Amino acid sequence: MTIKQTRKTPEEIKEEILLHLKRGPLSTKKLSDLLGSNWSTINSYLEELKDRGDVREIYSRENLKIYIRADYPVFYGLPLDEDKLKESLFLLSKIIGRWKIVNGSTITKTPLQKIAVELIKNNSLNVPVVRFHYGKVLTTYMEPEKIQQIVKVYGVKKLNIVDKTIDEEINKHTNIAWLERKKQYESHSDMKLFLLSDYVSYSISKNKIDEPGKILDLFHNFLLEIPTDEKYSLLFKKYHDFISVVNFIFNSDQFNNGSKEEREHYFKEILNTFDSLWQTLTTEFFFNDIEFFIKQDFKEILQFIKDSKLKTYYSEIDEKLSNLLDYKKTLTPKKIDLSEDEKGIIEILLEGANEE
Amino acid sequence: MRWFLDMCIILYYVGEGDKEIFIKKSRHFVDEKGQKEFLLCHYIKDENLPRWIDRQKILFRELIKQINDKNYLPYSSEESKRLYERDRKKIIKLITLFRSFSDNKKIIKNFERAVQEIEVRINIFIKEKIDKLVIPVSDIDFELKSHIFTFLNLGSSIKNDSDAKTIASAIQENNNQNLTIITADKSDWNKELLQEVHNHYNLKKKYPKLPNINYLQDL
Repeated sequence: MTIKQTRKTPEEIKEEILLHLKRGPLSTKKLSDLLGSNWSTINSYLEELKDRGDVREIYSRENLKIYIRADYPVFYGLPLDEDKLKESLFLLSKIIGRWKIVNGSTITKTPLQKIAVELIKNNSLNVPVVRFHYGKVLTTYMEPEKIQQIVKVYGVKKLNIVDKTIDEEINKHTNIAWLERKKQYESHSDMKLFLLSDYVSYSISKNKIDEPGKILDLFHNFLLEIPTDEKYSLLFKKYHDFISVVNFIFNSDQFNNGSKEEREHYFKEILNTFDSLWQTLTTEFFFNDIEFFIKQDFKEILQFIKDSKLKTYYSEIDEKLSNLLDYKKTLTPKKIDLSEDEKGIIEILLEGANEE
Repeated sequence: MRWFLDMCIILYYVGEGDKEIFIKKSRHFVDEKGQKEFLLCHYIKDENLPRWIDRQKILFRELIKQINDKNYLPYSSEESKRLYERDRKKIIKLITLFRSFSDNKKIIKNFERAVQEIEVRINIFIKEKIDKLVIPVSDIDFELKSHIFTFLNLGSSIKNDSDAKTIASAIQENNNQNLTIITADKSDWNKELLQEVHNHYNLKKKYPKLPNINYLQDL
């Protein structure tokens, strides 16, 4: 007896691809194996899905291409353990729902994440939390308006938490992003760096340009908070280069005697460079924290995605630092009166110069 | 008279403190310049001085890690491998100096201001005291430099490429017009080393004259 095989239509194959990708990112080769089709056929369907905005390519090198569904709700499309993803979605969807009931409005993204982090911390829930640009967040992100759609696709896994606990936490929060960030930075002892970064951005954006000494103090404080592990050493060096050049600018005649507009211009470039350093540091934090929750067989790809993101960020830092360093060629340092301690430092550094 | 300055002359000149006799000697030598013509090679200006500044910054980062992070194992960072034994001694002295500081921020502030001041003084020195920059780095004679390098480092575990490049620059410039090298490094920069150039058949032909050498401490 022969079994007659029905040929799948292109749309059915594309649907199947999307179905498989619900479990996380997959390579074209893996999808070809799963669908019993050849690489180039699947590749062309993936290209079509990409053009349609249904999938994203997150990795591409030689013959290896990795795709993810466009709605996959994990930062950088990283393949989170399936249970962890569902538990995260459960918590986020619960908060969105309870917020609507408690406050009668739609919660915004930042309070959603901050409430989730507090609930995880205070109730010892085993849901992954990472540090990212704006503090501690879940590895999953979500537009509150799209919750139903996302939950329908990826599902949820119930956590042991009752509505009353969620409501109590909701009552401690507002729907204002910056306030929520600040509250988290202040209440978590391990987030001093985030608090300092906020102070820096706030001080410069609020045009506190008449107090460069205070801003320099913040920058110095920041250096003392950057982790010293070897994996952060390049960033530590770049940041040190940054404060050296800021120190030079702040001590120049042109800066001190310049007009308000000129000083604002310097501050704008300084803040811009600081932002790049911050993005890089928090991206390093993110990958460092998420690594633990990533499927073992994806570790190599994780490293590649991490390296490519950081490469871009470090190039940005280099470009901006180089712009700032160019000022050293044009600015005239003002005469400074050295303290006895500073003279002592020079004396020590220049000891034994004949050996140089 | 044309004087070819070793890097240490500049570093001593911009220094602080009255304990170091070399500082006084260097200041006296430079400030009483008179008709002397001061030469500096491009290698010192473009590579060796910036590298020295970089090393002071590495030293500082090592110091910050040591005093600010109790979990940091001293000298475990990759970049700290570029520090010499003498740099480690400086770190100990700086830590002693900073012991009286109640706030680590002040350490950063003072160190940054001190290093900036050194950079400024070096730039002013080059701008105001140097009459001529000689021998572009790309023109350094590789054969000459390698020969000097071999004899400079005989029996030494530390291989000193910087001195070899600087001395080669001096010998090359001396070929154009006579000069005298001025240094404080009696142990490495000596007449015997210069004579080694004339023990090499090709180099002797190429560089028939050798520069004189004077020491800061003997002035």
